[in-house]
Amino acid sequence: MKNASLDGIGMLNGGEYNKIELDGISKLKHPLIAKSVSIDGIFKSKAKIQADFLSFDGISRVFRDIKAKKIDINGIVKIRRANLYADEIICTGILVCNREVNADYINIDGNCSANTMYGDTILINSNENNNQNARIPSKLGIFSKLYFGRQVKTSMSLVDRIECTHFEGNNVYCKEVYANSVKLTGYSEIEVLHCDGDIDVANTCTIGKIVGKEYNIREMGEMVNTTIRKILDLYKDGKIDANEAETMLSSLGVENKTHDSSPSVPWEDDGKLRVVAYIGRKLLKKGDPGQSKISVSIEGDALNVEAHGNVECTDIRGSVSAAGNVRCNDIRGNVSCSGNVQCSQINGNVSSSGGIRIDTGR
Amino acid sequence: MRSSSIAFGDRHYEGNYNRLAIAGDAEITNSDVKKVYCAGDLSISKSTIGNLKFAGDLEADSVTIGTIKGAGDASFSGLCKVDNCVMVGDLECDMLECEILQNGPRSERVNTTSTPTWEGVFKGETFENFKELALEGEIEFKNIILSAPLSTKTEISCDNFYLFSGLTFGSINAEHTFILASSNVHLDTVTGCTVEVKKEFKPGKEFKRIRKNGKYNNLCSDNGIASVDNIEADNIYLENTKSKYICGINVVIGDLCIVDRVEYQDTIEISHKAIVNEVVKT
Repeated sequence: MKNASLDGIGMLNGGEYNKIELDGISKLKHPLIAKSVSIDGIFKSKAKIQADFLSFDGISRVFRDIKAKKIDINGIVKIRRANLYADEIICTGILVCNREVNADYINIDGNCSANTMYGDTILINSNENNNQNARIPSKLGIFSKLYFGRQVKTSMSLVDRIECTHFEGNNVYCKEVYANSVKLTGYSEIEVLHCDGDIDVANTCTIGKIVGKEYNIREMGEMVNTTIRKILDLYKDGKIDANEAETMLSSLGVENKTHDSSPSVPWEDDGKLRVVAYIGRKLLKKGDPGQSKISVSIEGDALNVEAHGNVECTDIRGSVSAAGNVRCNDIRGNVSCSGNVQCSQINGNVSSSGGIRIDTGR
Repeated sequence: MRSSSIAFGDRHYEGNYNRLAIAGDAEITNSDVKKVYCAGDLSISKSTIGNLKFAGDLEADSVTIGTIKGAGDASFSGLCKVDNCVMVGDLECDMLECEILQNGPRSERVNTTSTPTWEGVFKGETFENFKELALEGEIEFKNIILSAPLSTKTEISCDNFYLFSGLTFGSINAEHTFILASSNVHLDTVTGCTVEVKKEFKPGKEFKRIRKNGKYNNLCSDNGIASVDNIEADNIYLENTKSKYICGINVVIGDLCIVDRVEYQDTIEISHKAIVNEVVKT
């Protein structure tokens, strides 16, 4: 693998390199793959860059996608009509991207202005001191949008949309943030925050709207109370068919909920009381191990009882069949069980693999 | 008499030409050319072009062009006028005036991998969108026809607005709005004179009169329900629509509508297949 270095003014042809060092005024016109790229001075890229390590120092204008494992930005990097993909981005300068910045770990300790940021951990600390080091004349701030292609504020980082697991922002303005946990300090501002986890916000920060689990449930509840019943009435009255009812219900966002709440079961909707046991989403069936450890206690009389475990109840007006023990008062029908039987009276036949105890004093 | 030229490699043109066919990078300045075909980067300034077809990047400065069909990134600076502009790729401009501006090819056989981004101010008569587009500027068109999703942060204002695809968007303000009902439509507010949300679209006389590139035959929706939070218009006709608030003079709530509150002035019709929680006569 060859190395390349450029000092002064020149153009770099693309290709595969081991190490590249650019200093002065340089331009890239063809796709570049390298292990290490170090850019200093003024740089313009009109081709894709793929590198293990990429270091920007000076002013760089990039018009094609960049992919790298680690990116260090100390100067100004302007990415226009292109995306930045990396495992780790550490920026102590200024990063402007009018498309997507995507990295597992993004740490901005300078300034950034981006359309979208995706990542696992995103830390943005708008550091005005670093911007001063970058020597952007503050009087030319009004022309910054023309130059950068996006609005850039020296006092604040601007990101339209952030999606990550953990987000920390200091002096950041975001239109929309999706994160599991958020910490905001300084004069940060978020228009809409979607967060289900911890939100730690300083008094000086502003959040327009917070959307979380509770809010969604509340909205759902309102719709359920007012409209779903009416849709079901229309269906019952025959005014709409099943497909139309499903369409209307799905527009209210209750389709999945309905399916989830009525899992498929191997019996008809016959009105009988059934007490069933699940392991995870698996229904325990007759003969499955662990059935005998389950006891079912029924308050009041029961008609017929069929249990794959133990049974406890008062009177049984019909018969009882259990895989475990049976313990009750009067049984007017037959008893069939694999365990012991303990009751006050049995009017029918008894078939038991264990002992039988009839206690008339119960 | 105008001359024609075929060029391989980099070329610079200045003057009047009939036809230029270029394979390579080219620069055209202070010229009047009837037809330009270019495969490569093209830079045009202070020129008038009749018909331009290019594949590559285009940089244009203060140009007047009859028809553009281009695949690649284009950048227009200064005031540029184009009669009919069909673009596949990113577009950036200060101010671009087009009679017809079209994003993406009409043919579904042509696939584009990424969503193009258009920046700047676009003005004209008809805007047609056939592929997904991210608009980071303003569009000021008389007629807007969307057959593919468009993402923008500003309100869309026009005379005639036709939506034949999914759209998640803020507000629409149009004299006449037609929305093909679909579960992928989520709008905040639609205001105007006439608002129609229907399951089917049949081109009417007004639609046929619009100058456009695309051919729109009878279209059917996916039978989903469109979500439009607020609708305010003189005449409203809805099918397959979920809405929180509707306000109009003459209102028709058709089949499979779910509406929280309707305010009407003159007439109202509610289908027996619709659900309306509150009706108020103003």
